[in-house]
Amino acid sequence: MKTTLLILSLAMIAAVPAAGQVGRKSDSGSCAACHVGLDAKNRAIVKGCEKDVHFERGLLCSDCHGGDPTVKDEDAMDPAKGFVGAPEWKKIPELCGKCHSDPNYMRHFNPLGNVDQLEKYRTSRHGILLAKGDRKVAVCTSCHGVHGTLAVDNPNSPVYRPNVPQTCNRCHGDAAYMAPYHIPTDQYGKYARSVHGVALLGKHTKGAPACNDCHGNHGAVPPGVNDIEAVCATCHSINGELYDQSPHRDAFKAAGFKQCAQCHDHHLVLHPTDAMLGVGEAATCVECHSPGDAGYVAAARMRQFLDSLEIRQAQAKSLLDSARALDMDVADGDALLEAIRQNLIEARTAIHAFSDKHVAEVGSTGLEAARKADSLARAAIFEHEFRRLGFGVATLIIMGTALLLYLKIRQIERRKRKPAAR
Amino acid sequence: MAERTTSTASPGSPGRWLEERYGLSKVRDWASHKTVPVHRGSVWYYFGGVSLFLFIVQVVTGVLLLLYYRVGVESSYESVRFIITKVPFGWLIRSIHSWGANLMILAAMIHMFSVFFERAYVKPRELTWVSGFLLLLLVMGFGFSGYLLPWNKLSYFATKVGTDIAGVLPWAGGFLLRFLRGSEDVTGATLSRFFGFHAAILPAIFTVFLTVHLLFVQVQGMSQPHLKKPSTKPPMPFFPNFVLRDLLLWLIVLNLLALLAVFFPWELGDKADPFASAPAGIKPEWYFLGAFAVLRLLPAHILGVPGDLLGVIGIGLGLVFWALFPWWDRHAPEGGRKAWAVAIGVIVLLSFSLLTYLGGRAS
Repeated sequence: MKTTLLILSLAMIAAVPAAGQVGRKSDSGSCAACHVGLDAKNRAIVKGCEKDVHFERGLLCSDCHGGDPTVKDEDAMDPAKGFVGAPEWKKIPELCGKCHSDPNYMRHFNPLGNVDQLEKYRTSRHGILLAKGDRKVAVCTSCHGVHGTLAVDNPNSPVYRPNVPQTCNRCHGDAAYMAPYHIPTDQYGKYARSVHGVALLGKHTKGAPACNDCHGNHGAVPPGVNDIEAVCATCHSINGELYDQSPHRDAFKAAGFKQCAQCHDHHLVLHPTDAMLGVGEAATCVECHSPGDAGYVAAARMRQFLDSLEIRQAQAKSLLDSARALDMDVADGDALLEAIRQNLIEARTAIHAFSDKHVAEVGSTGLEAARKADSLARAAIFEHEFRRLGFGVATLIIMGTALLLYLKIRQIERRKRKPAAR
Repeated sequence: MAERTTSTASPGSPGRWLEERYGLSKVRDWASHKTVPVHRGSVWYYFGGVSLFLFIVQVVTGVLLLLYYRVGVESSYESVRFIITKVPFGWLIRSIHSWGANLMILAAMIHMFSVFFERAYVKPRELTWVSGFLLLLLVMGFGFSGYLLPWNKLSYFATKVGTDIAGVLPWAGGFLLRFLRGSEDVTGATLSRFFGFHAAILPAIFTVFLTVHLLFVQVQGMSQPHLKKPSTKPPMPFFPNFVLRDLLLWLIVLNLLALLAVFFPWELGDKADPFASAPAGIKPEWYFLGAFAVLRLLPAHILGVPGDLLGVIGIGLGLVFWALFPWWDRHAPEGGRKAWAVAIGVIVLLSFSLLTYLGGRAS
């Protein structure tokens, strides 16, 4: 049967391969021929089909809806010929999964594509609630669209990465719609202001995470309190490793804290600043630590170290700029400044071990680079002065010699003139 | 005379030792009899000596740079950076070499125009003029080939533009372009080739022409200007008077070089990147700005002939005309200056200055 369907599909592709030719396809027996000539409701059913990824790959309406497209009018929609019409909401995942979960079928279109969408969907919050008979939860078409389904990498697709937050927000941002589930509906607003949202929506950084990168797409679930670190560590792997080895891991677990989100929040993950560290008013450390405890001291020291590294970086840059302004070549200093910058990032990452000694150890290379940049710049500035002094001395010697030469010339010429005068 | 000198040297002294073997008193004798004319234009004589001094400076600093310079796409820029940042006084040597090259061309040009306006090129000094002019062209060749050696962005694109001009010539253009570049484009092969030109081939040719030029000057002596009222001042002894004056000027030029090197160190810039776009407003060194302006100002086509081809041919013919000038102006050396010859000299000098100015202003 599958083989027959495949052959039929491929034959259709050969017959009518071009997109945007619904009318022609109806000539060879499609449903669109009738629907485009009917009322607005019927026309709307086939609207956008010509751009549908399935249609482009040669699939027909009957491949999802059943029936016989080779006959006309109502006969084409004979239930005896398998016509199912619009599938029931709860049956949509199964209908899509009929093809998308079949590796033998899907490999003809996308050999590298996943075929576990239905399986994952069943484990998702959406899938579990659907199985319980919830008619409001998202099914495949809620996110991917119905007849105008576009490929995921099509920028117009609702599931194209930068469009995902808005797609999720259609339901999750609707307070009335979400009221029965008693979950917040401000995620999109928070996400849009977060470092992730700004990167994806504002700066159009395609690698920045959307909702599905943390929650999963087909298997979407809210991460549990103890899973947050694993989710964040998918991208922030070093931070995750350091956290795992830190005293915070067990302490947070025991206290039921939200791991990374305890300090960074979850949807509203703002760009971290040094102010978050230490014992200042904006520091997150003081939410748990108080003066006198070891964590309070460590937080203060880590902040102090980062501040001192940053100050040394600024001093080195300023000195190198001064040397450069004197036309001194301090190009090696640029590499040192870059080393300090890199090390500052490493030291800021190292704070996730929550050990002031570890931060100082990691940041020691930055301090060493700052010391080298500092001495390089000072040496260049000294060299600049030395050159001028050297020029002054050389000028005295050269001009002194020139003066002696001049006097010698005058002496010779005077001596020569005297006998002539006599 | 030799016997008299020998008798004045104490027995066993180095002077006597040398005299017995090489007869140095003959040289001393020759030097004591050699004179230099004295007149109101005598000052221009010194520019030949200044050019020679700057050539010596270039040789000395060039040899010192060779101790550290390593030719190659991956090493030229790095070794020059090493020279100016790590080698003691490397910055000074490199800066003096760069400034010295420019001052040498300037001094040689002043020398050439002073010879022209004094009509020192007329019989019997035609070949002195030609050899001197060829020396100037060789010096400019030194400048062009040496400019690429640091392999920085400016030198890379300037060489690209400069060698493109050679490719404009009909028939031989393609061959000349590949000969200069060592490949179709400016690459590491061009760099090696230019280093070869700069450090071996040009110095060898230059030494021959310089020897010939100096020999001509010594054999024929310095030219007396062809004035209607000849100078009544007695000539100046070449040694020690003129030589000491020369030395005095050389010391001043040396101090000027040191001043330029210390207060205006020659920049290295960024390393050449063949995949980067050419920097905006790229221009050749000042002594090529005139030719650059001619090629820029000419329309793309003149009567169906490419403008840059006409420009190259025109510049070439102009150089030949200038080199052969002693044969255009060969009569009546005693009749003072010829108005038309002076006019041509003034036109050439003003045109060169104006075109250099226009080339420098071109965006």
